[in-house]
Amino acid sequence: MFLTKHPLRVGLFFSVIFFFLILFTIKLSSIQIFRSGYLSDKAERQQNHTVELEPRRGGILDRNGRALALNVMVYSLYANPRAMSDADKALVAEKLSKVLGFNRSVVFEKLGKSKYFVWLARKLSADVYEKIKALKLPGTAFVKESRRFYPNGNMAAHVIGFANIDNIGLQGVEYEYDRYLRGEKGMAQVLRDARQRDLLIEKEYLPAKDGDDVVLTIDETIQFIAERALDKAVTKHNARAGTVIVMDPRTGEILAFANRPTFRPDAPDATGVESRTNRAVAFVFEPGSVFKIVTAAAALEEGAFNEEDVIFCENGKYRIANHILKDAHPHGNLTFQGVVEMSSNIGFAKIAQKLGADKVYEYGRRFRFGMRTDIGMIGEVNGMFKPVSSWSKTSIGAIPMGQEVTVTAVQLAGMIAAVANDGIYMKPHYVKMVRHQDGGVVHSFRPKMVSRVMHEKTAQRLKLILQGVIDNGTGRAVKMKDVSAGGKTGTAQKVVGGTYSHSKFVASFIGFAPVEDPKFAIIVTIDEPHPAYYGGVVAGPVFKEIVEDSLKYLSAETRSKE
Amino acid sequence: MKVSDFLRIVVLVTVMSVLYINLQVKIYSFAYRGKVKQQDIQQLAEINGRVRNDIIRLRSSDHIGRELLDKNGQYQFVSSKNIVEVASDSTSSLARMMETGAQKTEGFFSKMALAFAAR
Repeated sequence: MFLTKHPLRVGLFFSVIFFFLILFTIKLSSIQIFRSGYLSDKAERQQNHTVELEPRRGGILDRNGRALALNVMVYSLYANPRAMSDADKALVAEKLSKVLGFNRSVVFEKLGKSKYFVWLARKLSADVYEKIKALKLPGTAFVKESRRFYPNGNMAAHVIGFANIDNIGLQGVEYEYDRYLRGEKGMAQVLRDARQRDLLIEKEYLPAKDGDDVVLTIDETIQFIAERALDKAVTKHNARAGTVIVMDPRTGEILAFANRPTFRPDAPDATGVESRTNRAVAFVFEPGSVFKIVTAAAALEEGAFNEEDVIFCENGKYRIANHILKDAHPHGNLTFQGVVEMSSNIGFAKIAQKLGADKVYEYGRRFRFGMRTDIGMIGEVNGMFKPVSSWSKTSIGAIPMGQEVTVTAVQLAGMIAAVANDGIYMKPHYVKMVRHQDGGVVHSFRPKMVSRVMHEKTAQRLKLILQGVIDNGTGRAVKMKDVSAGGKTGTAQKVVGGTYSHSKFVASFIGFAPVEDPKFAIIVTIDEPHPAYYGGVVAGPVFKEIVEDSLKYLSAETRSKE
Repeated sequence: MKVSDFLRIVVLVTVMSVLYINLQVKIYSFAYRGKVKQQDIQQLAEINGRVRNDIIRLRSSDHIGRELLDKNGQYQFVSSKNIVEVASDSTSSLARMMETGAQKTEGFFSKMALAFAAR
């Protein structure tokens, strides 16, 4: 009725509606057709956010799967200076400096930058994070990052090494196996709302590939035992430094590896460069009497001497060319075995003279002196073992007793392990395998035989002679009640200003135990001990403690597995 | 087309659109709720991680060794001569309990338990 009564009004009404409908259609067409590309891109940029997915850095484990290094998630604090007022900046600088122990000006300088993002403090410990969170600082926020965590403190520091704040390995296994440990980053493209909050809707997703674990040959417990014994000796004898290496002679696996001074992998800058130096592979020294094992091995293998052959030790003074060679304690006649047990310099000079320089050099090379062991640690050096053509007239007296030759601790470990292993030189190594975090093996490192240094029978004879060093000779302080062991003491004068010092020594003990079935080959070196400085007195007890405690540990482990 | 048909179509399209928008909003609502739950889970995972790391640190050789084998401490590694083995009836419930307990205890703790030996 109304429609027919007022056709003009009705027509006007619908015209207006129709007009707006046209308007909307034009606008919609404009948005949907002509500007769709531009608006889609803008929406895409606003709404989509690509998040980098950090992979979990692989762990470093001991031979029994116990963690020596792993990752933890921690918070890092950042600020957006461009969104902060001067009052905010002053407040943040004031409060943060108290919590972090920084100078106010340091914080203020960071906030003074015209940036949207500045780090204020990275990878905070849990308690510091809670304190800062409670402050509710304006213009700041936390972001999660991963940080390396070393549950054993500074144990095996020179093996494990350390990673920097960005989880990039800089030393040790962290560096040498970084390509396995670091993994691969992933990414996720997530939607963001109008407040720039990420939503749990992923448009694209590439998972991060977590890093692989590196399993070492190190035994965490034997490592602790070795480090504890080394610490005691270094402290007791006021030494400058020390090194211990424990090897399984049958496989070449390193069971313990320690240097002093040492450092904390989670705070490597807290101590000096010297503490981070891997002395066992990078520090050379004249080995002294421990090197006599080379001459003894050569003499037995070449048939030049038997155990009972008598050697006259000149009652403590013997001229070689223009040099008078002396013994620490004068001896008259000694058997070959006695010469080794008493570590007579004169006795060994005569043995070497009978063998000849070429043979002494040949056996030194058989034991791989003057060349790297290829243990796989950065910084390993060759040491110095000069060819016969470079020997002087007195070298035939000096080199057999470990002077005019420089070695590393790991080279000595390889030598004594070869003797303990019935003459077979096994390559020292400290990584057992690399495996995925779910357990699948990526790469396995098997024991590798390098060479046969001497016949099995010769090695067995030499082992018994070295047992005599402990039972009757210079290593008596090492004698153990329930365990048979063989070894050699060494007390080497250090070269200071071109001459041999009478106050600075390197005290060493190298040995193996038990004799009948060696489980361990051990080298202990203590640098500049005083006032006591003899190898048998300073380094010998370290060997003894490691052997006794490690054997107890191994027997307990065997018992717990049965 | 009649006006009534047109209006029916308009109403239908409107209702369908409203339903569609409602579903989309629900998706986003679930996404927000999921985000909250994710944060809860992350927080629990963090606590779990911290506790796990504390456990790893406390049971490490370095920590246990320092606690038990301090130079002034009473404990020492036990030699095999000082361990007494007692044969037990394997059917007894106590023996079964001990056996289960020993199996469940990690190897390292059982080794360190042997260090609790009287001099």
